Amino acid sequence: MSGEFDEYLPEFLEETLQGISDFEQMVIDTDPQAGAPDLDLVNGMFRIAHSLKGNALMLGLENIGNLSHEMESLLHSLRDKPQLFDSGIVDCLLHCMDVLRSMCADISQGVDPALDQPDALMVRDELANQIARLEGKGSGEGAHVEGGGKENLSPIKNLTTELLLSDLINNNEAQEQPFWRISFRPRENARFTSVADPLKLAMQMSRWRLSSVQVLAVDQLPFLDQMNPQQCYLGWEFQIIDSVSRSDLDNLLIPWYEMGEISIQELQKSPAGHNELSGDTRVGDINAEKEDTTSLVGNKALASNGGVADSVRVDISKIDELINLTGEVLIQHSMLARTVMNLPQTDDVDLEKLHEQIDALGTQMREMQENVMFVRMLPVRHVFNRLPRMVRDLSRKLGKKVKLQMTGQETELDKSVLEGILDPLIHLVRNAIDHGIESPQKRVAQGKPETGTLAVSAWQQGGRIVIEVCDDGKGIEQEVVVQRARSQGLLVGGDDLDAEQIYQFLFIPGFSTAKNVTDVSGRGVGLDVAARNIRGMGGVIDVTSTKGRGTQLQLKLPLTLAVTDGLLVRIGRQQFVVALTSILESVHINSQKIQSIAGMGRVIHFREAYIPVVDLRRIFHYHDAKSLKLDREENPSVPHLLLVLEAENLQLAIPVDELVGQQQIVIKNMELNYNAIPGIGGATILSDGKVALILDVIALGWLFRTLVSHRAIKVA
Amino acid sequence: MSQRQFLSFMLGNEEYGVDIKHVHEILTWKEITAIPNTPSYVLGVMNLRGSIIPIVDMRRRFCMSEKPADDHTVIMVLNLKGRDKTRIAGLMVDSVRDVYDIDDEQIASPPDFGSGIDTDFISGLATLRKEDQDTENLIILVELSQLLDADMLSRSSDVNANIAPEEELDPTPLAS
Repeated sequence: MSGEFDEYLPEFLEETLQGISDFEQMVIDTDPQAGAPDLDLVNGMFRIAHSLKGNALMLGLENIGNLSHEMESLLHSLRDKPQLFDSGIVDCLLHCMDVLRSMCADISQGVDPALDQPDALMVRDELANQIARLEGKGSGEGAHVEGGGKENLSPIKNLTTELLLSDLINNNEAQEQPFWRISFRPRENARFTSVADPLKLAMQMSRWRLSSVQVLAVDQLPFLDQMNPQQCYLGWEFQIIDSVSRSDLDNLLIPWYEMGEISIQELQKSPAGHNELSGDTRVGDINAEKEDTTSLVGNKALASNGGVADSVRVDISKIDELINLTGEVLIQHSMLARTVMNLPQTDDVDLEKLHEQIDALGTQMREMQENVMFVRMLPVRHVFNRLPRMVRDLSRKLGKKVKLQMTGQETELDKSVLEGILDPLIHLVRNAIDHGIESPQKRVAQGKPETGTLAVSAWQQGGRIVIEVCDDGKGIEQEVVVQRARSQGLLVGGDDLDAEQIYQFLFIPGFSTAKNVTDVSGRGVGLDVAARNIRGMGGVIDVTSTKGRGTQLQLKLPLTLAVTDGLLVRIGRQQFVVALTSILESVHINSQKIQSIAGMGRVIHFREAYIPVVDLRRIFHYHDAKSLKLDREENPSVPHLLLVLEAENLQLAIPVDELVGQQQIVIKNMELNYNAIPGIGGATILSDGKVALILDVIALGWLFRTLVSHRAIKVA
Repeated sequence: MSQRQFLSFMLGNEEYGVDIKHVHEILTWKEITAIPNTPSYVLGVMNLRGSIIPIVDMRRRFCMSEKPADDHTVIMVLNLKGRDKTRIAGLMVDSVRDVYDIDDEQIASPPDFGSGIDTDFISGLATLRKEDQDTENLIILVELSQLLDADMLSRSSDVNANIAPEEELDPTPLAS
């Protein structure tokens, strides 16, 4: 790897991945059927490819730089001949994005991505062919980059050094007037290193559209034999078309001030409203630097008023640390409150006032905690952005016509939930296209519009987020599901199932109603995985469907995985937290109500159902045997207290000693410093600073089932 | 010749050393929450400024006799570089003793005790002469990467292995 720029890599990767998904969106927005593409889109793609090239080359990632350069060439040719635009170009550009993504993945794993991988070679051939076609040279078989027209750049390896300044210039067809003129004259004794190479300045500048790059001659160029090879005799002048903010310029130029003289001239008033005097020249000495800082500060203030996007990229671990700290502060607060509570009343202390202030402090700190939590929230757009590409690829593969409608992209979700819904959502969308929406012929025959509509939307409903995938396809045929369930032995008898019960079959592993297995779906894996993931996050999937009209799937998810409402219970010497959503009821019951069943365990008869009673000691083994010993084992007069829990479609009752109280808990990961413990979903810190374990009710149900089946086998 | 600093701690009469660069902090004894289905030497977990960290009882880890916590008992918070990730964990030890500079060439590899003693946890032995008193003491240098290894943990957290028979659990009579 390049080494010296490693610290910029995370930022580069993040920016690049964002660029890739923006680019993809633009590619998909161009409609090859409609003929020539929208020039704005092409320009947009060009800009992304261009800045990608600049950034990559700056970090010494030549392979990404070279590939983006070839993409740029294609887009350049496309601008000249938009009438030749077709789906081949779309495919080619999308393939480029795939290759770039995998290169980014390589880089993030510390591998230098190679351009001679089969994928990369293929996509470069494709690019070369497309360029050749656009340039009217016929198909240049295997000719990697020869079609680049005026930029004949093979061998590609030497691109960085052969990069021409003219290559940086944006084709300024619209004759836009430049906003800035920047000139850079290196000092006489400036020492150029690989970090401060004038070419790098040019590359950095090229993230914006440049209308011209000129070489400024010095007053007197020495004769060749008197030239000092260490010295730079030339200067450069850049004209930038984009209305860049002054602070962005300054940020970029700061390292260069010490290399020489930089002058920045504002040629037009930018719409962002910079009220600076145009044409100030700065010399890279200490005094000028001092003045700079003042003008920089002024500029930042302006930028925040001027509508320039004000956001900061922050590493998620920093936010988590902040969340931890606020939690700790709250614990400290409750300890302080308790101490104050126990203070004796004396004349010289106004206890009343002290209590009041501590209460106020507590309110504010809880507010602070809530706000910190919200920092982790991200718009669902980050996940939705993956869909258009997928829908396009899938519908083409399956010969279907699908229009994707997305709403509510700005709905915010916790980052961890967002990551968790990506796979389920993809499954549901694949399913909707494969099983839901019919082929165009069928649709027309049924009097439906030829193009099916797939609506994906998100909104907040109470404390939950709802994500809906809705298609206008054939709907779920209940009879087929029932038939299939019978033939797979999942259903015996039972003709009076309601719709909801029937739809539950869809989420059973291995269940599929598709007659043909495609590589898209139909193997019956997918829906069950999606459902399990969603339930694992404390969410639910609702299905409604009308035959012939379409299917509607709703995912209802908690806003965040980090905070939940829980009930603190005591079992023997241990305290556990149980999520409120999984508690059905808590009941006091006398011994007569607990029945033993043939060595398989005990059940209670409760609300018309027999519910197994699960002693946690069968699942949790402690070294201290008394850990989970219930009070009533010492004192049989204590009545049974059972907590009835719902784990997926199984109900369990666990004996507990005491319901301590309900509280909002922050879920902490145990795996971070230890390991996952089956049946334990994490831990939380109580208001006295102690740790309590959180019961994972779904895993408990699962553990109980394996327990029972083990026993059943043993008995048999 | 390179020299490293070691922090030493006591378990009974034996003195052990860990490379000081792994030591985060030393805490006095705090209440620990026990966790189920773990090897016996994992005492439980503790709250370290909002992070949940496991606590390892070093006496149990080295199969020594148990000793109840007293005023000297401390928890050394260390970062342990395991095979898969770096964890933060606390080691419960009898007391913390001293910091030594030890040259690499002073460190001898542990002898082979045969199958009786597991030397995986020992990275080396060093004998130090105390200048003021004319005594020598042996420091056993601990191999931290092996202490909380993922494989060892999963070995005994197999749930089914730990299921107690139903009959032993609730001695109270059931309704017939």
